[in-house]
Amino acid sequence: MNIWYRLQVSKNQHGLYALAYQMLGNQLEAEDVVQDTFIKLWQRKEAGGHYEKAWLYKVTRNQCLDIIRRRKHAHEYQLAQAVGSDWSNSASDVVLNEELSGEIGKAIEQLDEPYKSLVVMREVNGLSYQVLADALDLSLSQTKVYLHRARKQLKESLEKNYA
Amino acid sequence: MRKQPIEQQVSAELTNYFEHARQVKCPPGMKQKLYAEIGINQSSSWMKPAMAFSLAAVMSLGLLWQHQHNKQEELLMAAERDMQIAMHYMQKISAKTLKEANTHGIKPAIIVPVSKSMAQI
Repeated sequence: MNIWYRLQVSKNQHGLYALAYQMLGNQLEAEDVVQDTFIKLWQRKEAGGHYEKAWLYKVTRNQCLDIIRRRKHAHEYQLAQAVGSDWSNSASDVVLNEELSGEIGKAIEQLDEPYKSLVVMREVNGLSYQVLADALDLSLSQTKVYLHRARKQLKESLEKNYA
Repeated sequence: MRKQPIEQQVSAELTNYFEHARQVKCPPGMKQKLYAEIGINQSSSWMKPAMAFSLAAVMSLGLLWQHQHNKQEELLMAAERDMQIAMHYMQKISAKTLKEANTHGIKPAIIVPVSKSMAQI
């Protein structure tokens, strides 16, 4: 059991960290997310084939989304405190992270879900369409369509900046 | 007119960005913290039996070598002893004529133990 577990940790730690870091833009939070994912894997102690990989990415992504949601709430709360009741429009913006910088980082961050996760998991982690579909609970065709849209959106957003 | 260069620039920058993002590595401390958290010793399970096996293998080889060495030593000592006896008789023979030696059967007494111990080596 331990050997299998250690193998999973060694095999997936960098990929999961890259995903968490891209989604959260913060090293410490990304590290915590990866650690929690592996703790969940230890508690689960079962998996197999590509499903196991998809499961790890799914758990990591869900934890990242939770953190982003919490950040958003905290941000909204801070804005509400500062501006009184007139905060709803600006608070709906995605909370920008502290560490990821540059036009591309911001453009990726501003993508909606599941586009953002799809782009990162495909381009950074190099996951197959099947693993992406399993991780995001999508069909294979949906995955391809969404990924195409995500890439298009990302390029358009960047081209707008450059124009 | 400007659209194509912009597209190319964006594609190139995206490729570069993702290339860098792929190089990001999880800090090594994460693994240690994780194993401590779930209570797996970093060098436990497969490491301990592997080390014990290696130790046992090294000790067995050592004992085997020691045994072979002792055996060789014994053979050498026996050969040396036989050689000394042979030398003793050789000196005696040299003092006698060949006829006398053959008559008293000293020659076989020299040749047999020496050839025997030499063959063992």
